[in-house]
Amino acid sequence: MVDEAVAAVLWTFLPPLIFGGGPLFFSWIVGNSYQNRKMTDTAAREKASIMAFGGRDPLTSTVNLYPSANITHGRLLTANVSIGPSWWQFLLASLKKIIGGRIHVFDRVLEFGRREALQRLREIAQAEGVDHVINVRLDTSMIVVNKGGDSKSGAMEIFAYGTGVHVAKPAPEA
Amino acid sequence: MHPGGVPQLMISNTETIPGRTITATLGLVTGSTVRAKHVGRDIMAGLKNIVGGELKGYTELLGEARNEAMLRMMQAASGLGANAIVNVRFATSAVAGGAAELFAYGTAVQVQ
Repeated sequence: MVDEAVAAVLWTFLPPLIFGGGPLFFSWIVGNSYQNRKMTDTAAREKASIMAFGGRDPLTSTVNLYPSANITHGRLLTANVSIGPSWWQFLLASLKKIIGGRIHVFDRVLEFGRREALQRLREIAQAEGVDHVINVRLDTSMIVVNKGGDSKSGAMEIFAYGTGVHVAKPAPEA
Repeated sequence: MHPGGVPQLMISNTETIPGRTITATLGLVTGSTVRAKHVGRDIMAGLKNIVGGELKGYTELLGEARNEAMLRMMQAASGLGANAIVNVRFATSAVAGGAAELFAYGTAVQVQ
C-alpha cells in the first residue's frame, strides 16, 4: 500500500524532473557549489604560493624587473586550463542577451579560468625553483563555440606563459 | 618518440636569453599541429558542462598538442644550428568544427 503510494508519487514527479528541468536544476544547485568550491581552492593556493615566494607575487608582465636585478638564466614556463560555463549559466546568459548588458555569470567563469591558469604558472615556477616569471602573457581562445539557442556546450582555453628567471643575490656591500 | 629526440635548447618569450649574449640570428622558426578532439572526450566534456568549471580532457589535450608544436619548433631551430629560441609566441585557432591548430613561433638564435 505504502509502496504503491510512493511509486505513484515517483511516477508523477520523476519523469518531468528528469526530462524537464531536472538536469537544469542539478546544474544550478551542484554547479554553483562546485564552482564556488573550486574558486575558494584556487584562492587558497594563490595565498600559499605567494607565501612560498616570501610574500610577493612571482609573476610580472614586464621584461625588466628592476635596474639592479642580476638575472642569471631563464627558460619558458607554460600553464593552461580549459573552462566551460554550466548549463544553468548558459540559460541565465541567454535570458540576459534579450535585454543586453553585463553577463555576470560568465564573468565568474572567466575570472576563475584566468586565476587558475596564473596560479598553475606560479606552481610550475615553484616546482622549477625560479625566482620570478617575467613577461607573463595570457591567451584566451574558443575551443568549442556555443552555437546559441538550445546548445549547452562551450569551452574556452586560457593559456599563460612567461620566462622563469633566476636572480643572482647581490654581493654584500663592504 | 620523435625522430631526433628532444633538442636541448634554451627558450624564452623575452627578446634575449637572460644572462646570455646573442651572437647570431638565424631566422624565424615555427611549429604547428592540428588536433581533433575525440568523441569520448567530447561527450565527457559535454557532460562536465552541466556543472561547468574546468574541462580536464581539453586541458590535457591542448597541453599535449602545444608541447608537440613546441617540439617541432625546437627541431626546426636545431636543424638551423641554433642553441636557443627567443621571443616565442603562441597562437590557437579553430580550423574546423572540433579541430584546433596550435602554433608556436620564435626566432632561432645562437647565444654565448
